[in-house]
Amino acid sequence: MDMKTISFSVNGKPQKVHVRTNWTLSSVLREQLGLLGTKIGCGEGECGACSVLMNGKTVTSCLVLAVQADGAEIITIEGLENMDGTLHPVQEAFVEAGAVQCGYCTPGMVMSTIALLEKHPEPTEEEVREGLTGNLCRCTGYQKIFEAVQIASKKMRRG
Amino acid sequence: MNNIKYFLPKSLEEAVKYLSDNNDAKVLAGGTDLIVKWKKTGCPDMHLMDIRGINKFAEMNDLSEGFFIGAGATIEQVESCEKIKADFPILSEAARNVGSVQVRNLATIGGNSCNAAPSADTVLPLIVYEAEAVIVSVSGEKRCTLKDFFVGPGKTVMRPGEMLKGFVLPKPKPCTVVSFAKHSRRAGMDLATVGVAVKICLKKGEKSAEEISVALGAVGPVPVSVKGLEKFNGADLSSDNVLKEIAEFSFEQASPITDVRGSKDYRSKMIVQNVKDCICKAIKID
Amino acid sequence: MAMTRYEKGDYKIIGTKRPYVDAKEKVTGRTVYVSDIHLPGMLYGKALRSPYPHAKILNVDISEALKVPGIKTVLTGKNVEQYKWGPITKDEYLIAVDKANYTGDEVAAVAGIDEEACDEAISKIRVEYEPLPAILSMHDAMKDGAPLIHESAPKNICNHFDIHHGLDTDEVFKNAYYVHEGEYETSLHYQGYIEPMAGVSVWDAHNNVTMYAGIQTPTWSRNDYAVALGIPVENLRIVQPPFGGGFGGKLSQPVHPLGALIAKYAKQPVRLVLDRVEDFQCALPRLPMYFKIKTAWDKEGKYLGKYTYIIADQGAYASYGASIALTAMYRIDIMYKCQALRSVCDLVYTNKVPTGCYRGFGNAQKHFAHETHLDEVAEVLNIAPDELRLRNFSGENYKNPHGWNTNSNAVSDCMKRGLEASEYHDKRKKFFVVNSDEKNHIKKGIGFAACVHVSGNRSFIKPFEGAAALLRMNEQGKVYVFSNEPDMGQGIRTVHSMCVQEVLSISEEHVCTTTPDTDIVPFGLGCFASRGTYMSTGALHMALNDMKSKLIKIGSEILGLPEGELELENEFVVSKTDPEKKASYADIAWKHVCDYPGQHILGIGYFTPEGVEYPDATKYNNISGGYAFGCQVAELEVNTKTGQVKVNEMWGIHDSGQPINLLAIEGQVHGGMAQGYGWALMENLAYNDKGKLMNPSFLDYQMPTAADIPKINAEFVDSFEWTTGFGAKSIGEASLIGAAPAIQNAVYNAVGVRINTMPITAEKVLKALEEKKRHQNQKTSVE
Repeated sequence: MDMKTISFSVNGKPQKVHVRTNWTLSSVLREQLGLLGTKIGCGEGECGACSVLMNGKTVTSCLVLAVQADGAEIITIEGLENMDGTLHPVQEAFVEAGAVQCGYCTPGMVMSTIALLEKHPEPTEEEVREGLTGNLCRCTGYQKIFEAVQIASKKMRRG
Repeated sequence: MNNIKYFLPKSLEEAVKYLSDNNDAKVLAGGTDLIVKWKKTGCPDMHLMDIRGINKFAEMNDLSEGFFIGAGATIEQVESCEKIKADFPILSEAARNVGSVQVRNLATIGGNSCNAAPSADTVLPLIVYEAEAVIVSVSGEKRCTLKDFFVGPGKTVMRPGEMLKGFVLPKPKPCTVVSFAKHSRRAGMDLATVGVAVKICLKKGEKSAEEISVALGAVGPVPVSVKGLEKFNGADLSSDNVLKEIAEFSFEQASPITDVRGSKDYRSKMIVQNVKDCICKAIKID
Repeated sequence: MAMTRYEKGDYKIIGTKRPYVDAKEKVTGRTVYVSDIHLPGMLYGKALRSPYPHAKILNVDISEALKVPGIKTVLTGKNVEQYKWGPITKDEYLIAVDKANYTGDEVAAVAGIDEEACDEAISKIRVEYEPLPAILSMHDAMKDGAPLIHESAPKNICNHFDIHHGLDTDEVFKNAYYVHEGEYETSLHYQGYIEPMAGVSVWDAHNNVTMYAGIQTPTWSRNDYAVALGIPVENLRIVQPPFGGGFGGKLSQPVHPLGALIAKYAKQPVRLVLDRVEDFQCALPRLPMYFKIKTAWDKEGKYLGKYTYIIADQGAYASYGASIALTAMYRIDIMYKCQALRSVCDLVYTNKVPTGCYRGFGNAQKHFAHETHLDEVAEVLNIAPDELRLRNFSGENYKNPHGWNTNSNAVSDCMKRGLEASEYHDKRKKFFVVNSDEKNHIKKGIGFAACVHVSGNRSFIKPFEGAAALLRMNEQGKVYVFSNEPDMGQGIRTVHSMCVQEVLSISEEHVCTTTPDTDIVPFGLGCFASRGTYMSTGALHMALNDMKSKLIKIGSEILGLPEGELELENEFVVSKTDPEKKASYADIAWKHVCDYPGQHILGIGYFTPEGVEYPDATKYNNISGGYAFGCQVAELEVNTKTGQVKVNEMWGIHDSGQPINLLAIEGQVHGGMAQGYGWALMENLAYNDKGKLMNPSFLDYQMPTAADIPKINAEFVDSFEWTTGFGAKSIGEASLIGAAPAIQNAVYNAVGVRINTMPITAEKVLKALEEKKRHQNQKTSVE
C-alpha cells in the first residue's frame, strides 16, 4: 500500500496529511479532516455535490486523487463563513431565495456559484445556467437557485 | 488490490524517461476519464505518472509552423484562450461543450484525445484543423496527423513508452470557414450522440469550396475523418442537392451503433442532418 | 353530525415567504446527513448483487471473503435468520435465499472496517448460479409459458383488481354519441435524490435496534422492518436525521433493514450506503404502466363513461405496487363528473428492479394517459381542450361514484388562470400561423393538463388515519414541536414553525422543530401521499390551541385578570385593554415548572380528516379530506429535422388550499414540474435483452441540468380547505403529475404527433413525423 504525505492549504489553514495514494481528495476532506460538507452523490464526477475550489477553480473532488492536491489551495463549503459566523453573500442568498431544499447538492452548488460569480460578476441567465450545469439538483428545479445567484451577484457588487 | 503507484515527474525529460522504464505506467492528466474508469472497474491496482506538475505540458504558443497547444492544457484553458478563439473558433466552441465547468477545469486537451473515445468533443475540430499530434519518447519526437492518431476504441497509435506532448495546428487559410455541432440528448453534461466539425476553404466571393473537411464523432469505434471529399471541390454549396450528397457521402464512412444515447437509425439520420446544417452554418446560409 | 368547518384566520405569518429554518445549517455544510454519520466502533456494509435477472442460487462460497483482512462478517441468505417481508405483499428476503429475481438482487452481504475491505470481500464471494429465463417486459409476464417469478403468483400476477362503480359502463358505451380509445405507456422513472439510500444501524445485546435512516415514514416502516428482522416492533427505534431527498423512494425499502441485519451479525454498528450504481439498480423507481383507456361522450362533450385497463409492472418484488396500481385505476375520477367508471388492472412481476413509490404514486402515470386522452377526445369532438374539461370538472362538494367527495375545489380557477398566465389561447392562434409556414422547421406548441391529487390517502391502516402533534414549552419559554411527519427537504419543519409562530406569537428562534425519533414522537404514518402538511398542521392547530389556552390560563393567574381579557403578543400574555399588564412566556413557563415540579407546558393535538373512511372491499369510500387541484402548462418548440423538443416555459397553477410557506410551495411546484419535465422527455431506466440496466449513472440516466430546465412559473389560486385547521392542502405530488401530459399536448399542438409511449425522445418524435409524412403522401397519392 503506497502512502504519501501531502501538504496543502484547506480553507486557509495549512494541513499535512498522510494519505494512501488511491484516496480521493473528497475522502481525505471528509474522513481525515472531518469536512463533511463536501457531499458524495455519485463518486463519478457527474452530480457535482463534491465540488470544491482547488487553486481557485471548481473541481469534483471525487475525481481528484488526494496526492494531486499536494501543494494546492483548497476551499470547501466550511471555508466560506467569516470568523464571526456571518455568511458569505452566496450562502445568504441561497437561504433568502429558498434555493435549498434537501440541501444535499447545496455545498457543491454554492461552490460553483462562487466560481461563476468570480468569472461573471453580473451573469446573464445563460452564464448562470452554464456555470451550474455540473451540479445536479433534484428538489428545486433550479428556479430558486437561479434567483439566488442573481441576489448574490447584487450583494457582492454592493460589497 | 486497490493500490496506486504514483509518480510525479518534475520535467518532460524525467517523465519520458520514467515512461520508458515503466511501460505499465499510465499518464494521469485531468483524470476525468481515467479515475472514473478506474472506479467503475472496482479500483484495480494502477501505476500512474501524473504530468500535471510539468508546466511545459500546459504551454500554448506560436510556432513558425502553427499554434502549439500542450497536451496538459486544460479544456478550460483551451476554451478561454483568445488566440484559439480567434484562429480556431470551433476548437474553443467544442471545448465549451465538454462536460461541465468542473470537468473542464480538470480535463486536458491531450487527455480528450488520448482517451480515444469516439465521442470526444475537441477531437473533431483538431482533425479538421489538420492538427498534428506531437509524440515524445526517449528516442525523440515524432508527429502524427490527428486523423491517423486513433486506431480503435480507447486505442491510439502511441506505443508503450510514448506520450503526447501536444498538438500543432497550422494556421487556417484566410478563406476558411468552420462550424461545429454537438447533437446530444440533454443540453448540459452529456456526451455527443453525433458530433460534427466542418472546415471549408471557400473560393473568393463564392459559395463553392476549394477544399472541404468533415469530421464525425460518436458514429463508430474511432472519430471519423471523412476521406475523398476532394470530389466536391468546386461544387456549389448553396445547392441543396450538393449538401445532401456531401452529407450522404460522409455518412457512408460512419458506422454508427445503437446505444443508450441513440439508435443506429437515428444516429444515421442525425449525421446527415448535422453535416448539412454545419455546412450551411459555416457558409452562412439558412 | 355536522362537520367541523374551519375558517381562514387573519394570518400574519402563514401565507408569507419564509426561508427554511434549516437552510443556514445546510448552506454552511454543517448539516449531518445519514451518510455522514459515523458512530464509535462503526463498520461499513456492502451487498453482493446478482449479475443475472433471474437465476437459481446453487451455492455461495464465502470462505475466501472471510479471509480478507478487516472483514468482520459475511452473510448469505442461508446463514442468517431472516423473514419474508414487504409493505403489502411479503415476497422478499433481505438476502436472496434460493433465487435471484433481478439484476441487483442482494445475494450476500459483508461488514468490514472500511469500504475497500468490503469491496475486496465482495469480489471474493463465489456464487454458483443457474440462470433462468427472465421476463423483461410487463407485456410478457402473463403469457403462456412465461417463467414464474414467485410461486405465490400464478401467471406472475401479484394482484388483479376490478373496480366498477356507478352506471354500467357497457351500457354507456353502447349508447354514447362517441367512444374514444387510446393506449399509453409510461417509463421507468428514477427518483434521483442526490443522497443515495443510506442507513446506520446499531444492534444491542438485548436485540434492541437503533436505526438512523433516510426515511419518509419512520414510525410506520418500523412495522415492516421488524418483520424482516424477526424482532418485536417495540425493539426497533428509528431516528430520522436530515437526508438528501426522497420523492417517495425512501419509504419502506430494503437498505435500512439489510444494514440492521448486517449489524446484528457484525455485533458492531454498521453504515450501509448504496453507491450510485447500486442505487440505480435497486432503488424503487416508478412503476411503468400500460393503459388502455376507453371513454364515452355525448355530442356536447359530456363525459359519460370510462373503462381503463392497466398492466402495472412492479418488477421483482411487490413493494407498494398494489396501492400504486389502485391509485392509477381511479384517483383521477374525483376531477371529472363521470358517472360510469370501471377499471381493471393486472399488477405483474417482472425480472427488473422492484418498483415503488415515486411522487405521484400511480396518479402520475394515469395523468399522462388520461390528460393526453382528453385532448384527443377534444379534437374529435371539435371542442377546445379547456372547454371540454370545464364542462366536466367536478367542483366543490362533489361526490363521485366511488364515494369520494371534494370539499374545496378550485380546479376551474386553476385552469383559467393557467391559460391566462401562459397566454394559451393567443399563442395557439399565433403558433398556428407560424407553424403553417412549411419552410420553418421549428414548430411551436402549447399544451396543458389538469391535475388532482389527494392530501393523504386512507388506504393503508384500517383503523387509523391522521396525525398527532406534541408541543412542549420548556422552562425558558421555548417551544419544541414533535411530529412524525419528517422533513426531507420539502420544508415541513418550517411549515410547523410558522404555524407555531402564528398562533403563539413567538419568534422563530424560540421554536425548535425536531426531527423524528420513534422513541419520542407520537405515532403516525409519515410523509407520503402528500399528507404531511394537511394532516400535521391539522394536528398542530389543535395542539397550539391547547397550549395557547394553557398560557392564557397561567397568565390570568399571574396577572389576576380574566382569561377573556388576555391575548398572546410577542411572547407575552397581554391584557387586550392595558398592554402594560403582561406576563412573559418565560415567566409563565417557569411558574408551571415550579407549580408542577419539572413539568413543562404541553400542547397536545391530533387530527383525523372528517368524512374519510377506509375503502370497503369494492374500493368504495372517500379516501381523502382534501383534494388538491392544479393546471400545468408547457410551451415548447419542436425541431422537425431532428425531432428535438425544447420546452421554453412552464406554468404550474395550483389549488393547494391555504399556502403556509409560500416560498416552500413555490419550490415544490418548481421541483415537481422539473421532475415531470425530465420524465416526459428524457428519463427512463433502460434494460438490455440480458436484463442488465444500461444506464446506471447520472451521465446515461439523464435528469434535467441547469442548462436544460425551462423557466417555471408557480402560482396559487385563492382557496381554503375547511376540513383542516389552517386550510392547507397538498402540493408535493400534484406538482409533478401535470407536466408530462402538458408537454405531450404541446408537442401535438406543435407538430401533430403524439408519443404515447414515454419518454418523448427526439428519436421517437422524428420517427412519428416521418410516419405522418408518409401517411399524408399515401393519402395524396390515393386522392
